Amino acid sequence: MKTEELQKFIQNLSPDLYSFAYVLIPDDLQASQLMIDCVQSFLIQKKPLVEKMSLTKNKIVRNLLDETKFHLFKIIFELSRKRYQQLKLSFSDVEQDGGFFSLEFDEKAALYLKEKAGLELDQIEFITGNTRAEIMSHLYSARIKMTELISNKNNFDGLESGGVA
Amino acid sequence: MPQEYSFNKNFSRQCVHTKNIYSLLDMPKQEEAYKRLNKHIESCAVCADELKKFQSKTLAAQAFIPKVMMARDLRQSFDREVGELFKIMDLNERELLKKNVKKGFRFIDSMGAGFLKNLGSKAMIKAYVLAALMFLALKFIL
Repeated sequence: MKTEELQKFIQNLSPDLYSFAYVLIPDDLQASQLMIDCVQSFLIQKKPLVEKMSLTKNKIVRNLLDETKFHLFKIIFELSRKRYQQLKLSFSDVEQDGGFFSLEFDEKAALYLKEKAGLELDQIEFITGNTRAEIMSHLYSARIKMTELISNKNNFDGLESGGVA
Repeated sequence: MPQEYSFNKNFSRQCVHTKNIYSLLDMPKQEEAYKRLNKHIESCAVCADELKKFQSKTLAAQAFIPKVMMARDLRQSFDREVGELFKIMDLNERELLKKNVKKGFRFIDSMGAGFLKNLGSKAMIKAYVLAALMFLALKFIL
């Protein structure tokens, strides 16, 4: 596998990385900067893995590419957790609107990775560094909050369209 | 009285396992706990009903989980930055091969140095003395 192929693979991952970054840091510029920092951090932290991939003659390195993908998600999660604390106040408008963005940081990450990224629990464990029990708990509370949100929204829509909830 | 009635009605509609059924959505199907709960649901109408309701609400809630699209200019900027990073990190194939060959030579050098060092070690000196004694003994006997 050539280095250019790995570069292309990372570039093609950008929609997934951006979406995850935006879910955690709901600001387009911050999210895209987060992605760039994540790739830089990956190339420094995982240089042996990158070199191994680049020197592998065999083109079938699917598992190494998957490993790369999960590492990138993990770094995005770790970096955004630190930045979220610093930028929290600037997201208050988005979070006060309610909905998905009003969930707790870990709840958003777990729910997004499970429902939108379609990952398994052990993969989410690796990315978030949480235990299985913690992830199950985050998923449960996130789902309950989201279903309450729908009920509230339906009630609100009902009231708006003639007051019948 | 109406309150008591509603309590009794709710009580009759409860099952001790209902609080656990929500985990069915996220639990891997091959796990023992999943199989046990699933088996329970087949025979418990309350839990089956609750799970069905929760599943439909969760399904509806999925529409509220965003999958944000990346703007074209942001994507172009990301592609450019990644290209730059790969250049800076010296990740082209020739450089990596050179580095690997150097690493191989360093390994061989260290092996050679180790071999020479071992020739003068205490254990080897003992072995030389023992070999010399054996040689002399054999010469004397024969």
